[in-house]
Amino acid sequence: MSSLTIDLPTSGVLITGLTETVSHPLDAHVAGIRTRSETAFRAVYDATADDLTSFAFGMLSDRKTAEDVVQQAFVELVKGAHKIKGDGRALRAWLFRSVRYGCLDEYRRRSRRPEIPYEVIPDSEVIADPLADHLDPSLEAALNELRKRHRTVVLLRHVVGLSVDEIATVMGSTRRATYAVLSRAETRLRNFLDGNQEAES
Amino acid sequence: MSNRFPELDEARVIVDGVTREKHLGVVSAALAARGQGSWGRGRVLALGLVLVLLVPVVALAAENTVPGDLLYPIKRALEPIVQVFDSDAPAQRRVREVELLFERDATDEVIVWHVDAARDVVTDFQPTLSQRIDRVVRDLHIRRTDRLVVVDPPHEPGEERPVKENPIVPVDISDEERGNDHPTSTTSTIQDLTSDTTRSGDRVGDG
Repeated sequence: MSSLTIDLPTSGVLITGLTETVSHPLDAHVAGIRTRSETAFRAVYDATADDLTSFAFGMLSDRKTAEDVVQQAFVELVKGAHKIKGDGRALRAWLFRSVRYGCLDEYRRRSRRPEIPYEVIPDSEVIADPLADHLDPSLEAALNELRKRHRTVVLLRHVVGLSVDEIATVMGSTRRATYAVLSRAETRLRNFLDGNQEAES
Repeated sequence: MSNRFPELDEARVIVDGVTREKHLGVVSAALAARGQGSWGRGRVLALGLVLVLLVPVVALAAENTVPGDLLYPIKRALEPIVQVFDSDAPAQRRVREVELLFERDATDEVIVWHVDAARDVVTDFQPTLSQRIDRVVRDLHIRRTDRLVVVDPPHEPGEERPVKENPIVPVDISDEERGNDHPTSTTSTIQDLTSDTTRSGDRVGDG
């Protein structure tokens, strides 16, 4: 038995009830991960790579760096596989937490070594990279206006589609606190997006 | 998934095949390295643990060994370490070995040989150890004399006791000579041995 919570962020109404335990698609691979089975790692990668990369991309606005962060998260999973506890949900949360820490490390790296603007580099030295995708400037500007914590919960909720409980697990916070942070983040992001659109129009 | 922010759909990406293969290749390499590494580390840890536990146990077991025992070489090998903490340790150990050899009824030749070895390491500044060596020497001579005692031949009750061949002549000695003072030199050891022989003769005569 487990607690199933339906959250409605827009209205702020919480409905909680008890239902039968629902198995998670990653449940079958947790044991394999713990024993460092390559098959299990491949299965977990295929099941989570898109979500993890999307989350990292939203956090960093740079697809190549996002993919590197996801790769590093799986390397970390190899190292700490024996420490993984719980079911498939816990494993998924562990991966998102690892990617989140990777993104925060990348922020720190960028703050120590600011990127050189493209204008400074002569055209002949710029190498075209098909993977160097960046977010739309207006969306990136709006996300940059958010605090990192707000940006994280918004992306986990509206890009990856995690529930508030899952986000709370990733953030290492309580459900109530996460819900409050998410509400504030959504409001701020909506204001910034609407403001940007008005400015563009 | 909520559609309150359709703008965020742009952040939604799908990992392409090239990236997938690259990532899985890195994961495979990490798994292979981890497997080898963990086995190697495990072996080293296990070996280290065994050594850490084994060395004190073996050292303790070797503490009361005497020359000829299986663990005696280990005792001698670890002696320089013990000597760092106790400079008298080698002399004390040699003397103790002589005592143990005597207690374990080693042959006279072996005991004498190790008595000489013990005297080599005991200095003049260790009178207690010298006394212990001399005590062993004296006891050794007593033991040797006891083994030479001739047993009375059988005779009927009331019959005159038959004359023993090579009887040991009792010699009167004073209590001071019989006393517990242990000789501190070879000369005094010889003197004591004479009195010990006499005591053995007394016992034979009394019987």
